[in-house]
Amino acid sequence: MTSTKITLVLLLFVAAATMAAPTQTQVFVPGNASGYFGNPADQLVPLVPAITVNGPGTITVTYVSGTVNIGGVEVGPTGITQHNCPQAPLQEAKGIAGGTCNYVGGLIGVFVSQSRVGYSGFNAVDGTKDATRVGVMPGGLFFIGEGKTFDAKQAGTLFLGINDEHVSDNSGGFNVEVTGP
Amino acid sequence: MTSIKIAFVLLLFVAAAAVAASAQTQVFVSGTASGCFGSGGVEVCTPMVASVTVKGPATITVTYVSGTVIWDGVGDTAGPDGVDCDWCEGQTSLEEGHGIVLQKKTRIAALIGVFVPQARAAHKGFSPIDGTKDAVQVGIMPGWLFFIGQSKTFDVKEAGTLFLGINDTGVGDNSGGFNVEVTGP
Repeated sequence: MTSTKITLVLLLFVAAATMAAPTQTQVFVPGNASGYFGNPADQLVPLVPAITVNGPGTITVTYVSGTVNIGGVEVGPTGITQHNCPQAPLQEAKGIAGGTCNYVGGLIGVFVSQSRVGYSGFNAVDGTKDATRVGVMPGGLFFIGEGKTFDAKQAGTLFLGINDEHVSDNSGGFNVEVTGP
Repeated sequence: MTSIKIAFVLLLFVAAAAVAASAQTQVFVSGTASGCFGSGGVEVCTPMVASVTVKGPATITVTYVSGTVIWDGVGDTAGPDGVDCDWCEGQTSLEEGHGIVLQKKTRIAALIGVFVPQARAAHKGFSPIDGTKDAVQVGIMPGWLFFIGQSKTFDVKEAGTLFLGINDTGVGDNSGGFNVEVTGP
């Protein structure tokens, strides 16, 4: 085998390995990154882009470390249950309010299609509050907690955030690992 | 045939005719019935108007009959298709439904609708207003809103109620309204 052939075979091998390897990234989600979701939202901090896929694919989000301090209470990625709360982001996502809020301060996410993310004027904040030219619809928010694996049906970007509406007094954040196709 | 039998057959005939006939109703949609959608906030707004309830999959037709909406403080009016507005600011109901804010507003004061599944409409604490503004225990998702204008026929896949309203950024200075005919199964 000539050196040219060996080089070609090696290049093909490396290319194949590169194509097969899943994308893996670590992101930090600050404790005030609510994306302006929830009511009354008191600080406009966009959600954090975690991974972008070019087509259908499986995405896995895994909590690694960190806590969020929500007004003096330390919480992990599953958050806490609060009674008589106003409207947390995950409640806004369902069009409900009051009563008991679950997962307050917890890790949440939303997958936004590429056609929306790529639109001029897009920001990863609540699109229903007249706060951005093109935003994110609340109905797409979902709970992640310690981890979640889901299938994206189209090209787009996964954004991560915190399930809390009153975030101006929050601190800390979550380190999260995200794996995609 | 005895008179009892004849009466029974007639009753059956009337019952069958009643079942086959489609429900038709007229409703008035007030110019302030934004359902608190849009950027006008929840202070000055009224709930959307219930028009027809279906018990399962069905075809619903909404037809504008008469009326205009005065949509600003100087007496500008709009029909069910609404009007374009270069100087209007904020976010209209339909813009909120898409999570966008356009530079030039379209379909201001137009007739809009939303079909709410029965499971939600019958839920304790439900009110036909924006569910994303902490204004109601159980509300409506903005993404469900759609434009109706002069007329619209559409199929629903489940039991529920059609609510009608006005597309605007704020309805505090609105008046008038639309008379609308709604036909269901």
